[in-house]
Amino acid sequence: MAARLTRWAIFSVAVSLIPLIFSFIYLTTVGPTPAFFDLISDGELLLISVALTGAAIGEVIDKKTARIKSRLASGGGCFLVASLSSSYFVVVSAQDDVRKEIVMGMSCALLLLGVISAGLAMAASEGEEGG
Amino acid sequence: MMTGFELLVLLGSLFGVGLSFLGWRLRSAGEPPRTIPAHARQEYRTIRLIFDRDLDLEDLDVPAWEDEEQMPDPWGGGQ
Repeated sequence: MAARLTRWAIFSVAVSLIPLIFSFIYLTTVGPTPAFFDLISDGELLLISVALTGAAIGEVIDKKTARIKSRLASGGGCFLVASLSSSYFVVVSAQDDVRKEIVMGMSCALLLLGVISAGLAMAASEGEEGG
Repeated sequence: MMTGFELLVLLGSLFGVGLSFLGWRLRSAGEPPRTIPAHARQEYRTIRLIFDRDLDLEDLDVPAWEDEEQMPDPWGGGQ
């Protein structure tokens, strides 16, 4: 299980953060060093959270070895997090005068919850017969 | 100050994480303990299935032998 979660953390979580790293590099080269605040205050982390939980839902659905109750609970939890993150992103992107500090805090919290939820779903979807 | 919608999103997401945790806990429910060796794990599951669901052997795909002579000897036979 540890190897599977490590692989997921590297190839899903870390790779999904690459756009933010490139954004930071670009903004640094064209002007003064941007604050962390500027990078994520438009709700970018919400999209990453949706992508991670969506991938976890696909993994849970795909596994036939795990028990049905376990798959339902894990997939449902990920779906809930993905839906709420999406709805919050819609609200943030539709408004012109968003309170950026609240959006930043909410984005970080929802990304953290999305990573936890997706990680638990990945762990739950691991079947004994070949995982 | 957070709005009601933001609070709802946060609490709903926390509930989602709780559901995922429940799913992770349910994954190992009823599974054989790790002390049971690998070759006996399937038998453990079958016995659990019979007792948990109160099944009759007729419900399972177990061959019935009319003649006891045809039954395979679980000890290998001829000993």
